[in-house]
Amino acid sequence: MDIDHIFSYLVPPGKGEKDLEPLRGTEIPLSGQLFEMLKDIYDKAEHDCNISIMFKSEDGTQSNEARGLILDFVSSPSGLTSEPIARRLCSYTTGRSKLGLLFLVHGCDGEKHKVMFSRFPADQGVLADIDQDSLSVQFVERVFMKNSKHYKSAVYQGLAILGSFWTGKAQDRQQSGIADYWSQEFLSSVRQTTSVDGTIILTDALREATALAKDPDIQDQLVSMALLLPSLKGKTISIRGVLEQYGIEEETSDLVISCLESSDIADEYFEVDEETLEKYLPYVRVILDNGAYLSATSQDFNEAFKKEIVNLQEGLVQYTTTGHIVRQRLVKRL
Amino acid sequence: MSSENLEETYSRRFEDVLVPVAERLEADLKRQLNGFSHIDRICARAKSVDRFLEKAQKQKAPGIPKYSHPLIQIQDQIGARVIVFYKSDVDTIRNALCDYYNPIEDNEHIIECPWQFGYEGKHFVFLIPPRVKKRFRVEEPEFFELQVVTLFQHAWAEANHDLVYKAAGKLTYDQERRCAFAAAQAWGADQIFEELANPKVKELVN
Repeated sequence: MDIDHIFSYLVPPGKGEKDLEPLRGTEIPLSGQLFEMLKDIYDKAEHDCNISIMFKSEDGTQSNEARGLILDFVSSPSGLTSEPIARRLCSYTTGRSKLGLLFLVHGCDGEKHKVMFSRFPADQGVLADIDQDSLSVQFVERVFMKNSKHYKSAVYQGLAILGSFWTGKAQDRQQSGIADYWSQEFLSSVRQTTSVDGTIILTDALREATALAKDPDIQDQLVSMALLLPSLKGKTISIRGVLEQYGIEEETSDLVISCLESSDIADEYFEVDEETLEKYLPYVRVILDNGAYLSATSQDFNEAFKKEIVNLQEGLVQYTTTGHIVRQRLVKRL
Repeated sequence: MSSENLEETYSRRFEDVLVPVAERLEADLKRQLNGFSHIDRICARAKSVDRFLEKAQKQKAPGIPKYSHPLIQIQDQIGARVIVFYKSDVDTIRNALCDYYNPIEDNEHIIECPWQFGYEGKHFVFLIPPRVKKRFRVEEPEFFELQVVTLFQHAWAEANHDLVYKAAGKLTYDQERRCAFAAAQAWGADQIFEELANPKVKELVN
């Protein structure tokens, strides 16, 4: 979708301030180096923005202030409709995030609109300029795009009508996950996959993959990974990210991903929920060929059983455990 | 889009997308609510072609269609319902559902005038979760509507829909009074059962 308007605003931190300073903005010409750089980000935005987000209902009805401003902007892109968006960003920007340069890029194809927001943080630099016979060197405080890959962005596509423009994608190239002030506050959005839901998808896939895996090494990797999952509590990550973080081998990763409804789901970001992990991956059981069944809660397994490799080539292991006997039972089935 | 094109497009969407997604959604809802007591029924359906076209043709004023883009704006193309025993179960189910699904609407349909009785229930519009849609296809609807109602709210709404909504002409004053009376009875029954289901009352009865 071709770009038809680009607006830019210098956005200072303004969180908690009652009287925000008037924002300075301008419309960017649709040619030149800056345009080409922004066009590149805009064209790749759907691919690069890796976190699926959606506007949240703010009062139980289908209304959301940030979405309302975006609909106003896409319906009639102008300084008048872009400035309130920049002002909103300013009102949520803390001193820690410092000064930023916001770009609002709009494209349209018939009734369909695409809008992308990018915020580049201010940096410092040195400007060296040569005139006829001398060199002037200046310290500059407002340098943007010193690193053109260091920014936050969000992209939405849809029709400028009430039933559309609810979902979009976002990214934060300044940190892992996404800054709260960018997604939750400025965009008044949540991740499309809830933390409980994402965690269930992960645990289901792990359980299914473990049941399907014939190779003991793959089973071992999957169980080890399950035991490490609680350390990810509260972290925003995708299933592919979890597999990468634990260095899971390709064959094992492919098996886990094949247990998802669609491989796209492996790239959906969610916050790992500890309670759901405990609920859906409560126990680990290891069965040995000598008839032994070793079981413990996922949280306690590594503490309860010490594993030693006796013979790597033969896959011979020794588990030891020490404790007081609490109960002994005779059961029909294991 | 002409009405012929709309019918053709929706019919295709109905068969290819809505029916299978509704089936998957129903299974998903049943799984997420597994273990909760006092649930009578969980169901999901794709809106029929006739009902969709009827809704799409609604007008907000003479000559002005209510929906400029019905394929996007009509959000109950997939509708689901959870029917619970008691009024307090509605909030329990609401809280559970919001763990799994993200709402863009979370509304209680209540009658504002204390002297009137009619339809009541909890309505949501949720994003269809990525795992329920097998593929990310733009032509799929993004949302589904879900109602959480009590047995009595459901019973009244179904009969009212059949007798009143589908009625050929306008109902008489007396017929409307009878419908309102039935709604009042359903409301009263919900209040009584809620009181009886209260653990303290149960204890006294036992």
